[in-house]
Amino acid sequence: MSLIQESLQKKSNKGKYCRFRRYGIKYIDYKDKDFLMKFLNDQGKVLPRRITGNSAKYQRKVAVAIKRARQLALLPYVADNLK
Amino acid sequence: MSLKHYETVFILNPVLSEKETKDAVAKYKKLLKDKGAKMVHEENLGPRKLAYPIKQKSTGVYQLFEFQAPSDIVAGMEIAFKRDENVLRFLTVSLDKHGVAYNDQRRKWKANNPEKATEETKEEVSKPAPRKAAPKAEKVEKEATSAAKTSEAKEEKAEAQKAAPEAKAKTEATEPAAKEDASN
Repeated sequence: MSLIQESLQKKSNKGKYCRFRRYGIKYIDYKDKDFLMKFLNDQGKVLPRRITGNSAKYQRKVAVAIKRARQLALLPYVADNLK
Repeated sequence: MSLKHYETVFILNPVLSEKETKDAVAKYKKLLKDKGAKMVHEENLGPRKLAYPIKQKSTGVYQLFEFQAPSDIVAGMEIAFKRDENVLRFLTVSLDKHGVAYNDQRRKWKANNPEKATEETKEEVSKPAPRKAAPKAEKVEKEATSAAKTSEAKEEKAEAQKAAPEAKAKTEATEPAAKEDASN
């Protein structure tokens, strides 16, 4: 194994955690627009799990909540300079 | 047939006068009651700016109904929404136990904090719970660490070991703790 490969393996997760598991949040409200904005980028797209640190289960729930909020025009489908 | 918990949000035309919006809301409420629904909560979220124009309108009046009903009446209500020209959008969601618990907590939180008109985040609503989870964490930790070691990739191991014992303790302890909070 080369030295480069070792340094890749040692790279930490930067202390990222799933905030839903950490705080015991079980339900993600689709009506809470300000909370859901944390999971969108400035174009209104849903951020990937590797960026937000969500576990798979909660990432799915977040995605469902965001899509519902989009349908109710609480969040846009497409945007620019959302933040 | 058992009653399911539902939540409906619908957007009304903003151009309607106050009386007309009230009439429209009352009409749907009556429709539900006639078919045997039990209203748990209704909330007027008021006029809000839409994120994108719907039917060339940029604002709408949001109304929320939370009710318990047998599962066959929801379709009838949605057909009524579709027929009504003043309803721009509607969304009906079936609430699971976590959703019902969240709504109960939110209402109690709002009753206790009437000044905070802006929406609180879920973290505020559920924050007190994790601190109470600490004493119970130790018991669950031992079970959880063994489970965490057998799971998944090497990179995630460190994270899982930290997160899993805390998470399991919190998820198990939160619900009783949260109920304690709600009753307080």
